[in-house]
Amino acid sequence: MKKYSYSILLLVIFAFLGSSCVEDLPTKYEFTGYQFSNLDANAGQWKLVLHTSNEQIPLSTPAASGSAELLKELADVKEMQSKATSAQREAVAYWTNNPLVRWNEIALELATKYNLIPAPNPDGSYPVPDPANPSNYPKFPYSHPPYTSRMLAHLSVAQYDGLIMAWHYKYKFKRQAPYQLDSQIKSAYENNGLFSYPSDGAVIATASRDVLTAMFPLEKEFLAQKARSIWNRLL
Amino acid sequence: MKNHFRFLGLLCASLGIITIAHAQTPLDGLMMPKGEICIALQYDQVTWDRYWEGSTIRVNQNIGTFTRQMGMPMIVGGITDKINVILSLPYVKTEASAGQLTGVQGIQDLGISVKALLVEKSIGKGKLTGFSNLSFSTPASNYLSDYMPFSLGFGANELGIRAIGKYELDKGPYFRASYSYLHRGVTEAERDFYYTDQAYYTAKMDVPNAFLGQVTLGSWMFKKKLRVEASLTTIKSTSGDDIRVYSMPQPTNKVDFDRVEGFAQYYFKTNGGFGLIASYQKAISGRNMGQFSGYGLGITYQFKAF
Repeated sequence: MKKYSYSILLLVIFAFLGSSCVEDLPTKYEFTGYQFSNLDANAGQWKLVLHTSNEQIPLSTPAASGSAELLKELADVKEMQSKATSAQREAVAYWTNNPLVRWNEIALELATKYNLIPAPNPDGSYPVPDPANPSNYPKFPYSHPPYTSRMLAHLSVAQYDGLIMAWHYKYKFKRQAPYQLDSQIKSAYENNGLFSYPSDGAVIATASRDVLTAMFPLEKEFLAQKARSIWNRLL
Repeated sequence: MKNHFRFLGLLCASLGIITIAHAQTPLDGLMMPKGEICIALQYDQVTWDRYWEGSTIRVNQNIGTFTRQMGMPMIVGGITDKINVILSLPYVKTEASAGQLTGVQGIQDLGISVKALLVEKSIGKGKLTGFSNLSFSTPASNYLSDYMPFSLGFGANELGIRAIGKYELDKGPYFRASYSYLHRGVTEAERDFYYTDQAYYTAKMDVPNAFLGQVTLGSWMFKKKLRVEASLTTIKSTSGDDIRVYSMPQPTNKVDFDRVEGFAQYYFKTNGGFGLIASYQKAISGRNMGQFSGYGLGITYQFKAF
């Protein structure tokens, strides 16, 4: 009788341990891609915030349709797609067709991480972060709300100007997307017929990485790795 | 701006659970005979004016001196000579002497615990006893756990399993050691985003599990009317993050501490009736925890119920 009751106790323990250990708490915002209702074909003419001309950042002309160079690129794409790793497929799902959402999520996480008030010195004065030596205590930046607001403003206008210029070039070069040029290539997201050169995802990644690296210099490597992982979604 | 805009704190959340009264606790080496019931009323007060933020000791002018009081009714019953059940329901009150944050009070966690005597044998001039204990506690009111250090408790279920060994000389002195594993569930905050060493997009917080070890030297005196003890307790969380620089603690923090304690219990009669308890405790080292010290007083009444 006694042995029996102990085994019941043990069962209860294991049931409890089992049920409460498995809960995974979400470490990223739950967000899935969606279809754009409109491609904003004339967005290349929108008013820029930081730049004065939509060709202020020069871009070389893409390889011509039917050229050996382009065919080679298409073959490379097919090979990469056939060899995609699970990490690359996860990256496709993570970034979705609107990577702006993830870059803003990254920006807010960094703002939270660096929102730490410097501890006072023994004499009661307060040390100030030094942008020239960001890793010295107190680390740069102290991402208080005004700093965070400024950071988000820089990030948003860089993304905005970048996309306007990208749209301008897309409709200038009219380079069809790989899945339109070769039916064996599958788009990772909804086919929307948008011209593919330059890649809007690459523009967003580069602009976001560079602005955030300037605002959070200690996160240079982390941001570079994030930007690299976005390349995986572009195909 | 000085310190006026910074509030921080320290967390004593686990304290409420750990300082469970001493009359006959999940951790001690006593058993009630079949049919005996002991009712206890225990009062504990701990204070601190410094706390460990990670392993850094801090003073906080927006806390001043922090006080945590606990009143706890407890019932221990002997189901058989070898199985006891312990029920407890603490009422906790917290306050700080400075700053803008107000304390709270209310019913904390309902604790249910079963203690079993597994080994009992005479060795030399004494007796060796071994116990096992299984405990469960769950929040008994809808308190906010993410309000540290003021929160009443950590706001999660806890399952504890313990092994207790005691060697007692016939003359009175005894040595006791125990080791416990405390498994905690998740608690719910009132914000859907928080940051530990990474971001979480949920209101649920994982409360770290912990190991608790205790060694005790004690003795019976005056024909078993008085019992005195000195003990060392150590708690180590198995996971968790440190309180961030000058930030509030949160239930996800890794709470560790070592505590010394003195304890005395006096029985007016040797079998049943009233008893009195007095204790003193002090933290000697810690992590993400107040450097607390305090005392406890209790009254017990034991009677034969069936």
